[in-house]
Amino acid sequence: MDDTIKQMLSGYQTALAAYKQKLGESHAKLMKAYDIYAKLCKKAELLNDAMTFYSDKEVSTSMADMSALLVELAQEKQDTSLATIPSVDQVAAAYHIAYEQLPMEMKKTRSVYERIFEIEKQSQNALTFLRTMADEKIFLKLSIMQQLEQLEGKKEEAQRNSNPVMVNYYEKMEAKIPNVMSIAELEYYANLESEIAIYQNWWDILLLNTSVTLLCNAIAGWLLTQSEDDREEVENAYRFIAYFYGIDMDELFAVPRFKDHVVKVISKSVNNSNSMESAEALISQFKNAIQACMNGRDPVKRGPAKNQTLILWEREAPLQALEEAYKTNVYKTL
Amino acid sequence: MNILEELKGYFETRLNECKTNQELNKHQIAAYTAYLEKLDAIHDDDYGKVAEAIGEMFLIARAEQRDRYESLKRIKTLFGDREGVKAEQIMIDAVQASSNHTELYSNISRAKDDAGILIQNTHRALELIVKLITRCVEYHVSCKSRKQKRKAEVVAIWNELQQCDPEITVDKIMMHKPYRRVIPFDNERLSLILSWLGEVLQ
Repeated sequence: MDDTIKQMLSGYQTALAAYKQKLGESHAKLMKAYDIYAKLCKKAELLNDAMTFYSDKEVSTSMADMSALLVELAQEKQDTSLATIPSVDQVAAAYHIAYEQLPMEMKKTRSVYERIFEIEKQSQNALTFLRTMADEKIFLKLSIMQQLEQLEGKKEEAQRNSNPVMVNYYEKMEAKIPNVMSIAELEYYANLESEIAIYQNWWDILLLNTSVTLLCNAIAGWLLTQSEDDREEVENAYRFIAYFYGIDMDELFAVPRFKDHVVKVISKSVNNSNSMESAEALISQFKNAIQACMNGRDPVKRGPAKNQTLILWEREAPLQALEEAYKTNVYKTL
Repeated sequence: MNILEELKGYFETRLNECKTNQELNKHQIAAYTAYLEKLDAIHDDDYGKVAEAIGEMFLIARAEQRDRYESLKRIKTLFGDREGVKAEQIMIDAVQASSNHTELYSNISRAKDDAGILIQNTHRALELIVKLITRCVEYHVSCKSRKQKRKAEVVAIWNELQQCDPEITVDKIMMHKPYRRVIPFDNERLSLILSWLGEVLQ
């Protein structure tokens, strides 16, 4: 029998077995569902491949009937005379599956699971198991530990890639997660910080697009062609930046956010190295190119000093202190 | 083992955990409280009666989902993201319309399609705003011979943005908070960039 058909049938079997326990085997709708299940099993034996099976008219009618019945069965009230306390292995099964899929390096999360399995061994049934799990705050511990371990090394990676927005995100998460008191709180902070990061990332990208990236792309074009068109673009980009950010080229490459981007991203892609020496050499090459492109032209006019300040979350963000602005502005505004 | 005591103990512990943040756990608090009241009304230790009272703990499953989407709606409201708020409301309505586990998960998965489109649209609009401002600046600094090409690039992004946000106007870029929050410039500098956009769109 085809694997996908086998899987589907076993899904039906599990669902029907659960309803049998809940409603009793003589429940009319359940009996009807079992008849359909038997019909589908027979068909599956007869029709070898999935395509023939699923395109069979009788099969598709049976599957539609089964889906409708499963919805109806879900709405049926439990026959409480049949109710028995669920066994501990029934409720613990999902934890075993999750544990097997957990990477070996997530040692702290694994140890929470190992505690769950100890509780499982000591528990008489599902009720005592759940009670101990709740008393020891295992549900919350599991979520906290998993999130913390997933964050390990991420901040350093963001630092290496010159991504101050994500550095802030990971720092905030690392600080908040260990102190949350409920899973809802954990989810709230994770969603809030991720939404903040989405906005700040776009802001940061736009800033780079209209400053260093704009100028460096123009310079790269001119270095390659030495054409008048490319020279004109270097001049225009430089004049734009000088006005828009109120800085000249020396100040531009000294702005910490811009310099970090040049060293860790641009220099790395050009020189395949993010050493400070090769970045400094590249910056001086850029400056020489700008000088060459501006030779014989009017000097650039810097914009007013207030242009050295940007707006982030409706608050001032000085160019010289953007990392700080990413960490504080949003929390003062929202 | 006393069935009632075990179950009450479990609900009380979870309830106390939820009470550490009443706002974020509002519906879970109501669900645990409702079950505890039902258990209080049972006087013998018969699991059949207990099972009748708590069923498959559906109220808790629904309350967890309700709290989750209410909390997401709160975040979207905080950001002034109207489409995002609509999306989370779709999820909340789907959760509330459910009366059993099967319905809950099928309603959530159906609603996610509609809500997902709204959320993707909002994020796409932010991306296009960033691209539009970038292209406007590139157009402005372009050499004379490339002006037409750069102009066409601005127009292409503007058209895409119109599809994503049919209400987009130059004024909206200036006024709409979520858009302003991805733009680093004050009104004076943004007006200048938008005047280049106006030049292109004329």
